[in-house]
Amino acid sequence: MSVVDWLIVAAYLVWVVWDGIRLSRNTHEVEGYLLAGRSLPWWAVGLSVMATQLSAITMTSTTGQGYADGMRFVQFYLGLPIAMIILSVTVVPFFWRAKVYTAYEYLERRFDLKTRTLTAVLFLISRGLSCSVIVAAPAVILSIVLGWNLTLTVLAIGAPTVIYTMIGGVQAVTWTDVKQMAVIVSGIVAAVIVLVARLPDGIGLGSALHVAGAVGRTQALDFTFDIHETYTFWSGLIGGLFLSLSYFGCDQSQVQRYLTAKSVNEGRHSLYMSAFVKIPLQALILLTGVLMFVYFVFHPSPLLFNDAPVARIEAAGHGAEYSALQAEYVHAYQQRREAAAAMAAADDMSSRQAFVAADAAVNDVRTRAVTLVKDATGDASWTDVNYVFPTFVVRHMPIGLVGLIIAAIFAAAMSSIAAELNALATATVIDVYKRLLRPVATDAHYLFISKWATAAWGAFACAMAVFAARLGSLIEVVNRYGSYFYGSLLGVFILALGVRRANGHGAFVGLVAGMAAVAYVASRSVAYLWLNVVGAVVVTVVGTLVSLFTTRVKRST
Amino acid sequence: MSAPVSPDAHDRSDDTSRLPRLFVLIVLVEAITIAALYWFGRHFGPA
Repeated sequence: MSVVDWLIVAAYLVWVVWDGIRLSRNTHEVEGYLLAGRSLPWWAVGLSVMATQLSAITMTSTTGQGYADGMRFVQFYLGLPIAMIILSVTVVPFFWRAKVYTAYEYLERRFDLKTRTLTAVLFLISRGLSCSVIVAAPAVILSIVLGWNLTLTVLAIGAPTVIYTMIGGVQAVTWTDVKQMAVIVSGIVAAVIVLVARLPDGIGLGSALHVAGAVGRTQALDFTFDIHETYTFWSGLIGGLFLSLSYFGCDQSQVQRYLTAKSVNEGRHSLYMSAFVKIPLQALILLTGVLMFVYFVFHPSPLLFNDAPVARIEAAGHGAEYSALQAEYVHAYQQRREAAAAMAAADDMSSRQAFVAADAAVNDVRTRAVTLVKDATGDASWTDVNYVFPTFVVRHMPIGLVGLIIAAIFAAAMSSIAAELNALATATVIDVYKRLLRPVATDAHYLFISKWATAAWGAFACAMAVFAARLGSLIEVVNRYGSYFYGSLLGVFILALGVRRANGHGAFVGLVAGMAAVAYVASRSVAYLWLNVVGAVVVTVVGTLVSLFTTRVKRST
Repeated sequence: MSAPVSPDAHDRSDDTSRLPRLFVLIVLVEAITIAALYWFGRHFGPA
């Protein structure tokens, strides 16, 4: 990275901390610190909602998915707009008028303390661990691609975020989110412009997309109904609907965003922004990955985008085999490049078939190289897909834009981490400390504890991030745990808002049954989006039955 | 057991009269987006 790019990244980090603290207002009391005094406009809340959801993992992993698998991942978001409509007439007015700080606080009013405590503790465990993954995932990638020290990279992402979130509370989080969203979108648009501008002479955007389309990269929709297939139109529309309902309706990191809105209507409108913009934005991020695929068809690309394990391949005695694969790859790559140029010029059936065959040959060599890495490292889930975008940025973007996009990756990570820390601190103070440990204290005391809870969760996330970075499989476990939890939590809120006869025992037993059912179904290789449907349905059905049964027992005794 | 907190019908900040039109617009935009994605896949996809 050049000095100019370093300066851009450093200036961004200093600016984001200074700006976050500068814009903190009304943070001298708990409601101002945790809920901004319920005073924020819909557009700021809406951008904050989107920035929270768009993490650095989205920027590196989604572009990587676009590169390797095409546009199919966009189907994941098909249920989101419908979820926003449902939430805007259900949980938004309920939570907003109930004047709660957390979603779980409402569950005690509706059910009982044990349901509130269980959901809050599940949130704290799940989000506390996932927060460390949100720090770890980009830190690992940036440290390898940029050659930075891993611990320092974790601190570069985590420390500024903890500082402005701790000092400024939700005001700082929201207003920095607004600007970070602008940095993120600018970075993505800059990458798209460079990718299009650097297409070879004589190959326009249309021809480039035909090249990508020949090997399935432009295929966005798959209408087959298969519960084992991860991304289809139906899993996205139905499973994605349940996931979005759960994430935006029951997860404190999202609920807290629209509780800061100045009215119910402003809270609703903040969700409508996601309903209108989310799918096109994700399509643009995936398209960036598709255009990277075309870019690396016409420009030299490495055999592996993360070559850190090559030393281990050599140490395992497979160095010669890897060198032979590299030579084979150079030849296969040249063949594919010529086939792509021929296809772009003619675009007839035979030239398409020749390109598809040449692409398959390249993939074959890459698959064998990846297998070598898996054997040498013992990591069966190893992939270099998440390294494609950072590699492209660092090696192929012009000076200045490299700094902008690295800053955008930082912005994406920081906006998500800040919201998580703020939500974790809120649930810790409101649902645990104030409710269970010290119910009577001054506002100043709870404010003090809120700030230190933010700092403590930040320190935990950074420490766990350094640990998690060394255990690749832990990241997968954390992500899987989140999907066990989400649908079941949604079921509890369906019981709370939609089933009048539901009681605390029903909700508690239903939640436990839902999580057990999801764990069982997940072991049957069902695609994870469907787990949210299973969890919500089991909790609702079991919770309703247990509620009816326990009510009758009570009446009869 | 307590009943769900019921929405306050007299809350002036809660203007629900425009919601049906907004919902139709959201569904319409999503339908157009899905149609555009379908076209994108068909037009540039494998012959």
